[in-house]
Amino acid sequence: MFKLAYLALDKVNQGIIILDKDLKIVFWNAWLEQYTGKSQEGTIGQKLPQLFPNLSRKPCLDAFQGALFHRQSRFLSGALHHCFIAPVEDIRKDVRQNLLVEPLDYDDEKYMLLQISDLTGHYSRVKQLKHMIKEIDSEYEQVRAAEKINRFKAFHDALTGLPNRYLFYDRLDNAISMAQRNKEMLAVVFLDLDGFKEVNDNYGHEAGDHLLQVVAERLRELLRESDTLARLGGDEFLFIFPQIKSEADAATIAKKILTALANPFMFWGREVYLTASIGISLYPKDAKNSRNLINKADLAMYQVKNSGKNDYHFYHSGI
Amino acid sequence: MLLNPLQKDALTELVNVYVGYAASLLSEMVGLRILLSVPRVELIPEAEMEQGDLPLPEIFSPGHIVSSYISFGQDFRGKAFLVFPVQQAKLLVNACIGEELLLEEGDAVPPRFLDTDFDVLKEISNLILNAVIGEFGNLLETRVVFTVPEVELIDVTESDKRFFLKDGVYILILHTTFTVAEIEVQGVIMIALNLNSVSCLLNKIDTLLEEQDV
Repeated sequence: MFKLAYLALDKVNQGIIILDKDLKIVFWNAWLEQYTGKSQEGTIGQKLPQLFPNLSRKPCLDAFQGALFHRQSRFLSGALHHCFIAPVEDIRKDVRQNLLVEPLDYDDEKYMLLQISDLTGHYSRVKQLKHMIKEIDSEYEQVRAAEKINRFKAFHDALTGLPNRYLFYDRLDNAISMAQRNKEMLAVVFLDLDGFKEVNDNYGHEAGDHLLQVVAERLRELLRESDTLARLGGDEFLFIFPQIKSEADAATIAKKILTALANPFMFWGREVYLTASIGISLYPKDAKNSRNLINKADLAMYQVKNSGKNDYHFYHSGI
Repeated sequence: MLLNPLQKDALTELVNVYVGYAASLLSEMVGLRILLSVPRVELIPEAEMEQGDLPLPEIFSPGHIVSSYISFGQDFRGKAFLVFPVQQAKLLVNACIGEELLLEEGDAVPPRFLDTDFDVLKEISNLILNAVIGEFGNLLETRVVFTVPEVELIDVTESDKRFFLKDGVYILILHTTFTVAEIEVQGVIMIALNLNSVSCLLNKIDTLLEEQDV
């Protein structure tokens, strides 16, 4: 039976060593013979740390002492200690082994059992896996960044960077819900530039685009944090001004917009003058949903266009 | 059977020494200066824990934790646990193997724990728990037999708390902070003890206190 147990230990697919209290090798299995190139005959009776200097490092000696004198089992990982027993002519770099040290008592004598597993292949796979995870993380970040950009593009005007029609509708719906809940008034302002077609015709589309960008910039400066400015397309802009107290507030805002556009626009060394026609509708007086509020502000704007431009009008039922 | 203030002070002092010893072993092992603090020591009857009156909010708040435990004992018998929230455990492992890890505040996704990380944690907890329990064994002049730690990643829910600690009657809790390479890692050492072991420990502490008085 003893012989059978001995044979079984020889068949185990990891290194098995039994040491006595002087750290001399009592048992050395066949796996280790093959792994280290050192035979049983050559190792039995030898002091293990002398054969393998890595095992004379302090953590190992502490583990041996703990097992012999305090009956402590100790696990030493390849992640922290790399290699305990050098393999024979190994071309693999960075050999990793785990070592388990356990106390073993027999016939009133103290021994210890060492189990060594070679995890080099495993660590190399883990390294590859970590590398792969890093790559996936980096690709995921790129996808996220691209998604963010696409999301921005989907809801913003490419020329001016302002919210587009879809985002404006969404913001207006939210603003209406908020105004309804808080019983507040809000204004929708429809702005159409006067004479923009002439700029395009006289100076070209590139100049027209540049002008729209400058106009957007000037209008943006008038906004509070809660306000929204969107470009509907062409030379049409839409505003939401939530939490206004009265019609007079909306009129003040409209005047500010007209004043902001009154200063000349400079490009290519020339001064270009632009005005705007502005229509205003109010929630809840004129309409209670976004579509009707925009339509009514649009109607009011057309009334300005038909009555001489460069002015603002409120929507009223007579339009 | 709760600790009176004198017993608590004496136990805190002893545990400070044990944990300091564990920290020096750990420092040697990873080649980094590691400090382990023991700000608080508590002895709690398990029944109180079952009532949900847990003084361990951060560690046991629902979520992932990494726990390693060893069983020990003959006369002094129980289970010792080293418990970390998973992100803290990952920080500790990475600090020990010299890898950088940046965690975002409130990161909902637990960090990826590979089995090589478990090996590092197994070795760390082996060293710390052996050192602390071994010193308790020395104090009580009794032979303590240790197992190698098992490391588990657990998704803690309310009901798990009881399962987790079921073997003990009393739980000795040592709140610790690991400082590794300027990174602070919060963890808890918990020792689940049976009634007899707690009595032995408290009797020994009382004896020490009496000796001090003489």
